Amino acid sequence: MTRPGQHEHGVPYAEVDAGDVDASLFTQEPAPDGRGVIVSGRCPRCHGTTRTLFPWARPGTGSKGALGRLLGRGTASGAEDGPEPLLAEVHLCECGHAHPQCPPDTLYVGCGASWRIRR
Amino acid sequence: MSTRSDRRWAELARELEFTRLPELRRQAEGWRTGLTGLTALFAVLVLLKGRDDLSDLSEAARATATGLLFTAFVLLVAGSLLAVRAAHGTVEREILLGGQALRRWTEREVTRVTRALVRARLCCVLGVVLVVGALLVAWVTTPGSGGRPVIVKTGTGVVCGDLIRADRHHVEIRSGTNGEVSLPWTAIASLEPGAACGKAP
Repeated sequence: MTRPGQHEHGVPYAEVDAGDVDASLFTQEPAPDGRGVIVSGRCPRCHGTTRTLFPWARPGTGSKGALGRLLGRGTASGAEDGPEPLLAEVHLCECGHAHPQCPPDTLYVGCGASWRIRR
Repeated sequence: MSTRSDRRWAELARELEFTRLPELRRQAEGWRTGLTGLTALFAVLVLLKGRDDLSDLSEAARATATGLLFTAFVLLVAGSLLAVRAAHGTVEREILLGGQALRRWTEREVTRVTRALVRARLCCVLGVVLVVGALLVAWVTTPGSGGRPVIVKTGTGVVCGDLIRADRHHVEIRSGTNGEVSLPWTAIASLEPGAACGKAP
């Protein structure tokens, strides 16, 4: 028996949309080593503490080149990337607990829930 | 966007964390190959081809042909660079990488690559058209194949034209301005082949 608000370890893994979650329940802060931004809070489904790192990285091959920057199509750092991860991303449960039926090769170890954060 | 799609984008973003270095190296290899090809093209054009192919043309024709060739060269180089950029991307700055950020970036990149490909194709076609134009200018304005004209300097002036005949007494020349001219050897100060009549000496 778990108390309300406690991490429910027995919730089976399921890739479900948990809808919109209020932004006051989550925080966003720079990673201590400067690698990116960490969004943390409680999963709305299993109520486990979830922490997700959004690293600074190059997404692939290509983006604004030197010509684009010279012509003013490039912008200051971060401006092209859209809103901050807290509100722009779809967040996945990453409570770290392998819930029942959790796929062994999943990149997000948790209950499988996903949600968006709204103000 | 469906939950499954959102999850897939998030997983792709996370997998990129493990392929950053190979991806950068692959990009560098592509650019190295492209720039090596361009360097070879420069070497061939500048060092081997030379610039004397247009020397037989008149001033105006030479300027036109040179301008066309230079513009074509710039367009072909730009087209090559655009094609390399489309194929291998370019060095870029980092973003906060999440599934939705990756999805937005992918949508933008698809637009940019498509645009680069269209421009590359346009540059290459225009470059080839200009090269053909320069060749046409050269063919049309190159003096006829009757051989190089001769320039005869006499005590009273200069006659330029095609050599008809020369014997012990006279030199006969067909000049574009004076028609057929017969000049005695005694009146000739010098006789030499010229590149083209009407050009500055």
